[in-house]
Amino acid sequence: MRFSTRTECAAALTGVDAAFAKGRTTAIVGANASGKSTMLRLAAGVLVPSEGVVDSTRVERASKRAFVPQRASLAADFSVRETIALGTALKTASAARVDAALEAVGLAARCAVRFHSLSGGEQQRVRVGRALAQIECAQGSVLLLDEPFSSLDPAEVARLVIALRGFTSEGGSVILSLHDAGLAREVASDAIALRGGRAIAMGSADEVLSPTMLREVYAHEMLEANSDARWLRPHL
Amino acid sequence: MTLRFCILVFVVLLLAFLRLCVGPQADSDGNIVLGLALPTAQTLQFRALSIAGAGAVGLLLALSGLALQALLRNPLASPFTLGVSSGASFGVACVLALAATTGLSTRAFGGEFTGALVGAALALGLVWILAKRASGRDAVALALAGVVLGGVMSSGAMLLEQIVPRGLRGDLLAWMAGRIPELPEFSTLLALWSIAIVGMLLVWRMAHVLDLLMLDDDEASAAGVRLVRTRVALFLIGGVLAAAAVSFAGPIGFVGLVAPHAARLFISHRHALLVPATALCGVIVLLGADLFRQALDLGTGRLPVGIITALVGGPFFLWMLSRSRRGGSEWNL
Amino acid sequence: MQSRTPSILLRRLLLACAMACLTIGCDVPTSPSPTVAEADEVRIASLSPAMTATLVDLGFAAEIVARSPWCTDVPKGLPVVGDFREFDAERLLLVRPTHLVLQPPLSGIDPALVTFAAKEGIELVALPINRMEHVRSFVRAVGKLGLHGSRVQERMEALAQIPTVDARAPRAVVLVNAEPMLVAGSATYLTDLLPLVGIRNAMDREGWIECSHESLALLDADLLLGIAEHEEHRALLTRSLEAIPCKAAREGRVVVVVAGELLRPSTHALQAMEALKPVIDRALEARGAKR
Repeated sequence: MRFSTRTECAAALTGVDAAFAKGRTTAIVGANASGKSTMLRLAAGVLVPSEGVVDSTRVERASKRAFVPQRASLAADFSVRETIALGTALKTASAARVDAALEAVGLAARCAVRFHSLSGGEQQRVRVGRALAQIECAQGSVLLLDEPFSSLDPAEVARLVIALRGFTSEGGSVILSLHDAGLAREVASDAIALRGGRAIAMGSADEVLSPTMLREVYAHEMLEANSDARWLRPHL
Repeated sequence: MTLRFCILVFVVLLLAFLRLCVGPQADSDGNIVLGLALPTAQTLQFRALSIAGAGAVGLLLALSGLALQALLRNPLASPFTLGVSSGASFGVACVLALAATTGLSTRAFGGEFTGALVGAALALGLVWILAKRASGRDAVALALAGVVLGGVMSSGAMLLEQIVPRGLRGDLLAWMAGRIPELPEFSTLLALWSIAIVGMLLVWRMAHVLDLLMLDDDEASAAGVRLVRTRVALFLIGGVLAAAAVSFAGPIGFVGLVAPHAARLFISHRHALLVPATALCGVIVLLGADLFRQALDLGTGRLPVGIITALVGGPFFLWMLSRSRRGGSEWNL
Repeated sequence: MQSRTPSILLRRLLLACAMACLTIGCDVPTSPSPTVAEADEVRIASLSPAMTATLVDLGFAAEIVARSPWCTDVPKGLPVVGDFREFDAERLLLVRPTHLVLQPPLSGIDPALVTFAAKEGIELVALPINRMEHVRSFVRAVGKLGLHGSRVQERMEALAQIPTVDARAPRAVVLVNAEPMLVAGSATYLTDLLPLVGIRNAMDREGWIECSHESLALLDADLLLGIAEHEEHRALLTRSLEAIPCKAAREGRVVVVVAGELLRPSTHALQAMEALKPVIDRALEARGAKR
């Protein structure tokens, strides 16, 4: 998928021209209000760019592209299974796909539990599961996640990362926004660094997320703790 | 689930049967007493008409409430919250006032039905425009706009009450209590049921979309829901259903609020099941209220059905609210 | 949804059903009314308190078989079959009236009631009752029943003899409710009745007018007349009238009577007004003396 866009009015995102490769996990990093969410929402087709184009011809069907926004609520008391089945709601319901998604996010055993009685991490996995169920076939599809790891404990982050790796290993692409550069380096293969709505770096995660680059991204010295997420490794 | 649906259908049939059998009758001394007996051919006709009217109103209000709740993602939405009922009352007040000041019959202005319909449409349209101006199609802004507009409409009706001749005030008060007309015309009932059935089928067809609307806007939109189109459809369906009910029976409260929640509680939150369950619950609430009013003789005439639904529906809703607090989610009633 | 919910719901439902059945089981006698109608028997259902008052005054108390919730002149035990807006077809059918009298609402009579009455052979007498001339029309309509002829004749004559308004008569404010202050205006039956006691209405606006003390003071009436439905309303009306900052109040020309029958436009109201003559004359004497 490739898109270039320029939004003048709020200048949430200006002159960004990015392409995403198949089967890779791309992290969009940047400080708050750097345009990460805008970029994801553009990619998800939720926003229409005020200028420029989002070229997503190959993934524009809902079965090829799913989006999990950052702070989402569920306005109904669905069970885990019912929530994940929302992903297939607009098509002929496919129980197999729902089962696969339940399996992928590791919640098959808890499928009858109410969504609202789950922990934050489990809820997040359910929402990713719903997005996975929405996608017909991982090959050539895109999963967009806005800050999927915020306020999750390490074990939960690891479970989610495992689910996402399963998706990329089948040929799907994951694009996620992260404010934590260290975590981005652990989970992503590619990265785009945004600052003030402009892409200042793009490429492999190691390059983009180097300490020098990060200093520019966040406009101040990175604390060692934030630039590193080795704590995640034992959980993976 | 099938069993629960069977229970709901059974309750509807039981209430309808009781309604057919309960009524005043003359005892051997010639006194009029309330009794339980199979109806005569003539009372059967009266009672069947009443059942048809009450059932249609219940169905219309319940489905309107469900559509508006899905539209606003707001468990407190109902024809009341959006100001539809107040708008309809205002419309009726206008027709009555026009008739009183010009000395013509209300039929010269299209009758109370037209007034209610125009008033309800006006309220809905205004709420929609206000909310759109306020902040996109934000659910809370829409609900707030509805509450405020409902207040303005009610005040408008009260203002009309003040400036029209005094004889009209009783008419308006009676209208606002909510009554199921005695011996409605067959054509009216037919129109009412047609609207109810078509509305139900339309909402039912949208069941999967309604499920997805329970997600965030972005999530739903990315999942393939055409938000604007869906919302306009829900708005129209919810508005027309409520206007039809209000123009027939006056602003009967709490049905549109309680029936969908009762259906969620008893059946499911999934709309494919929720739509028929809500329809059944709406019919149950109104048939129950109508039966109650029929079976209660205070010696002062029958109570307006709106008073009974409010007296029963209000506490029920409060009870559900208190449950929801413990449950954590506002929808987890 | 918790698993115990349905059972609780079901239990409550059953309880409700049981209670409903119990309620229905209790036979509540509401009225003594003969079931068999004899030929040319007159059975009147009245949906209007004012019409009921006139009917009772004309001697038709025994012919009234059903009432509205607000008809106070007939026994409470009579079945309630509706009001000006709604009717109860089943109960109407059971009391089998030959005549149904009502004041049509401004929005018109319910067409369903017209159809019902025609089908059941019930004669519908629908008349507005706002002025004494309306009462007269009603008495004339009742006269056609051919019952209690002398009484009807007597009342017809009394109605015909109500004097017209004398432009030189003392002016009175007629208060019928204290909170809010509600005053009889022109085009009301009370205005029609005032000449019987030698006064006229100071309020020249049409209908029933909600007033403030100040606006009533501006009328500078010669007499302040309060009409209370019950004894307990007397004090409130008196206080309200005495608080009007005008000469009549200061000089004590305040009369408050307890006469519920005056609050319904009927032939009974005519009698009640005539009975007020001495009280009102006494109150006005003070004014005459001062002049």
